[in-house]
Amino acid sequence: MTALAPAPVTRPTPASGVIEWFAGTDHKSVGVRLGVTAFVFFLAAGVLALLMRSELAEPGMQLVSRNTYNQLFTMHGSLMIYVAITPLALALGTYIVPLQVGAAEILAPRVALVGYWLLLAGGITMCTGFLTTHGAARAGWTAFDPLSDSVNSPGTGMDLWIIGVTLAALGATLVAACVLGTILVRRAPGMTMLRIPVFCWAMLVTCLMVVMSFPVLVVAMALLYVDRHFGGVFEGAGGAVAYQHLFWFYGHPVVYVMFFPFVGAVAEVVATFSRKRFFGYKAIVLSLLVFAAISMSVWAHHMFATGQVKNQYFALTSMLLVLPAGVEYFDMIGTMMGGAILLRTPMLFALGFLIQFLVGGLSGIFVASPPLDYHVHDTFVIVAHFHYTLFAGSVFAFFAAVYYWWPKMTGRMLGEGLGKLQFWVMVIGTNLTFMPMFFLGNDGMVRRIADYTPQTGWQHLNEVATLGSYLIAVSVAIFCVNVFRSLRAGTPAGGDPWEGQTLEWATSSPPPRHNFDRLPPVRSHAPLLDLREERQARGAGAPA
Amino acid sequence: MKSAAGTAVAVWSGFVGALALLLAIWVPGDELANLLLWGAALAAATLAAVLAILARRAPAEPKLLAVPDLSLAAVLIALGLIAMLVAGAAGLWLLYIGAGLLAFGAANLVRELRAARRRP
Repeated sequence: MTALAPAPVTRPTPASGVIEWFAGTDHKSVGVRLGVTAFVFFLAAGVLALLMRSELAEPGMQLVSRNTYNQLFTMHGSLMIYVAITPLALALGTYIVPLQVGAAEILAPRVALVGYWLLLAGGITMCTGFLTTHGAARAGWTAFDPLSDSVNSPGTGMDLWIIGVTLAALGATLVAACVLGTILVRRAPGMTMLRIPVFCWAMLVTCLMVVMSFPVLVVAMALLYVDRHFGGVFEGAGGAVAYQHLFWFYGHPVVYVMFFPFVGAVAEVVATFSRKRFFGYKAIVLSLLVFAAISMSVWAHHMFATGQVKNQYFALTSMLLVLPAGVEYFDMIGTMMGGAILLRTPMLFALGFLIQFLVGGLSGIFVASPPLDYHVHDTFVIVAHFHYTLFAGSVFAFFAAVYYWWPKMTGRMLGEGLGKLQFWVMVIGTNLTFMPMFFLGNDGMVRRIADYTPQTGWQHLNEVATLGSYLIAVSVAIFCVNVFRSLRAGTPAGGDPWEGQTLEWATSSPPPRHNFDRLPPVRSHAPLLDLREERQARGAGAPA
Repeated sequence: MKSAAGTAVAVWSGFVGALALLLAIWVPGDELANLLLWGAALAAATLAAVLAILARRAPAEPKLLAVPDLSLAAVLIALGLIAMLVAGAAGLWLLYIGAGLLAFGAANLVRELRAARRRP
């Protein structure tokens, strides 16, 4: 039995070429453009990180001035957060969600297209600060007031940063609203809320958080702009704290915006490569809802050291996060237990995510405790903690997702050999880079400094971290080679190379303009696995 | 089907509301923090209510959807918005150009939507 997909009406001649790149509204095309754009910003931010690590490898100033170093760490963080990792997560959602819920198109494709252009413009606008007289913004990715005011950060670079962040936040909000709407109102017949895949649930909570918190960043940026040009907005100590409240109400949820979609992707990968139905589906759905709600209420743990917030409340909610996170780990492990695990590249990256994110997550519990946070506040411990969550966690999961869905997007496989090589080089590089930072931070090395004296004894650990960062660059280069080879002469993938469980594997690779001609019946969150099991039960044994 | 979507958002807004209530009891004096969290909970509750209303009005059979392949209007609107915002650093002249692009894009959008409605 098959159900017809909602049939869309379309123009007879499909768009192609430059105009398609410019104005195409197909969710797959928007998703790919958003992903490619975000990946280019990811590479640019990576180059800035390499410059910083090279500068820190030895005591003394070797490569850049202190002023330039301030611009480097500001723009590295800004590009990564605003226009690289967040958009990469949204790009995955834009491409995959309509396929997984059996929709012919994303809700409001024109709005998604506007969102894409705003994000692209946001990144470019931020970067143009490097061309101005005073250079790019140098007040950190948080741009705390009064550091970011017109006295302490004069010049157009800071204004361009504010405008760029505003554009990126608006763009992300629009794209997220489209993805959210698609999940809520564009599901195929039979696709009830408790039958949408885990990735869609992860995108749902992500987009809810984007829609609820990113507009606050837009307000904060508007007020900061007014404060810089006309004054009188963030005056005195109260003003600085007010800015931090507004900023972190966006700034903490965004961490989870860069996390949940990748958790969802890893859940799909783990189930597919364990050859099992996802274990504890309802538990993970509930945990995602709880997790997303709690993560809206923890923002002021970034402000423990201000002495202006009720530390007990925010410490309690921050520590509560461990409960839903534990459920998610439990479900992933439960899925793998007793499964026929296939260690293909996506699965390796998924396992890398699960193990390494644990380091980031557990160190997060330490810094959720105010006394410990006071000790490590603004040190390299914090840098290590969030890089273990965002790089060792989210970026690994992003690569798991790319290796998993690349065949669907392009119709070609990525090389397994190069994929595994990339994985191992990246694991070594990541841990060499970020693990020493825990020791450096605990020893007192504060973040955002361009130099340290030889007497501190920090040189060897910094050398190790710098070596690790070069290895990460090598691993990303291997990925680029793999992509190039796949696009030129990759093995054809077919519709379902992994024996996937969700609807996107029921159509061709890449999918046609309107995704599906016919949909299989949807009776659970793993409709293709249902079909396969049904056929096996009937003795046919043929894959779906 | 769609009422379940509203339920999911309502559940989430309930969780956020519970945390906002805890914050209000524990830290009544921090108006901005309370405003932010209550704002998120109420916004999510409003979305849930809208979804519930939409679910009641939804037709039993899915409608045919007119899906655009291209939308130059959307690009013009985006470029207009970008120009108007970048005017904050570049100067007032770009604001006017941006407003022009935005108006042109909006007019084109109306034309695109009318054309889509005319198609069988």
